[in-house]
Amino acid sequence: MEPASAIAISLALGAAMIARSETIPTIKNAYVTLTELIRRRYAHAPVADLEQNPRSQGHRLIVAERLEASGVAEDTEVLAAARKLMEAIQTYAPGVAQNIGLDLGDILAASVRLSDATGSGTGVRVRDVRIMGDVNVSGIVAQPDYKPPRSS
Amino acid sequence: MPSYYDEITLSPSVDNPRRLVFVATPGSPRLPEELLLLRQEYEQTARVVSVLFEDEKDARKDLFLVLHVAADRGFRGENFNIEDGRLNLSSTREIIVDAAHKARDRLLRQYTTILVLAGLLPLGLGFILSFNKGFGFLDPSSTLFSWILAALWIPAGAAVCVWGDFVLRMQAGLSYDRLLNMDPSRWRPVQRLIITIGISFIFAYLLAFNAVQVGVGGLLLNDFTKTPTLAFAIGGTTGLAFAAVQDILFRIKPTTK
Repeated sequence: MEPASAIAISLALGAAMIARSETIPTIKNAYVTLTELIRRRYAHAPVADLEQNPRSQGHRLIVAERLEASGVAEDTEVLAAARKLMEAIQTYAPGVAQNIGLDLGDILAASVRLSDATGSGTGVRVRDVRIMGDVNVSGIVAQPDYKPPRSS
Repeated sequence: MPSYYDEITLSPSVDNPRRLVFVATPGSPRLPEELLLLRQEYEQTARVVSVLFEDEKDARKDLFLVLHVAADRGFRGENFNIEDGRLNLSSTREIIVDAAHKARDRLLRQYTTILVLAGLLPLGLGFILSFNKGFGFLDPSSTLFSWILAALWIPAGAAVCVWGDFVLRMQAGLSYDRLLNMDPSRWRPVQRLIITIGISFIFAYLLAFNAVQVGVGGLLLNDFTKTPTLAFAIGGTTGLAFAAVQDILFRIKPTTK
């Protein structure tokens, strides 16, 4: 998964949380920080559209494509902000991923990508990843270029 | 470092996975022994997840995704790292045990429902029938009356002891090595109860005609037609000591010489 896609996933998760009436302050602050950074540096990325439709895979793809074309992969500040948002969501509202049609595979891949802001060849420790259900992932080291699996 | 595997996929599908498939790199050299052993351990762990979470597709899918991330680091591409792969497997097994605790709780709920419906209910009905001496419709000293009570108490004993057997097996706590003990014969709780009741009735039939004589403590189970409460012990014995009952039945099986 490209860093831009991982950022788009964290934006979609954040937007889904913001749409709720009872938003957790830590998530809200992390989301506002990330969106302000992106609006300031990558104004052509349609974050507002994604905010309106966090379930839309199309909007996620457009945001990811625009961010990628602008070289967001090198923007450590944006990557760090996205990682912070992702961690806040994993801590306080892991179930939100399912609300927007994402599963553990997407979250794992995004989490790995955001943890590995440098893109080095060494392994990336997956930070605590949870999703609504029985599985709480911790203590796993992933390849920096980890891609979700496909069927054989 | 040479690349041994290009990709690891999930089979038959990502949404309903049952196996990890290691796709070898074309022209890759012979697999080192330690990598081969590690792959076998991953495949064995995948089998455990597949068996244990047979009926829980979402949990199985999530656990296979974790296994995939873990194995991906240990095997794929030129940057594979056997040590990380080994540590990942150990962490994944802990994650599986955590998820298995929830599976155990769900199984306990199913066994408890069975205990109430197939255990306590017929047990109570049998006592009501017994204390009211058949409500005047049946002769309490007749063989028919004993068999009707046995028909209620054998399933009751089986249900109570199938529940007890599960609880006793789980009492020692769950570890990765004991995970498959949760369901050693791979029967669902209802299937297990039906089989236990069926075998209990066969056992009771043989006891009734003295084909075998079995005692539990100072009690002779063959007397259940005279003392109907012993029927509960027949079901209970089958539920708790299924292997012993199976052994008894096999021993009297006719053989040709």
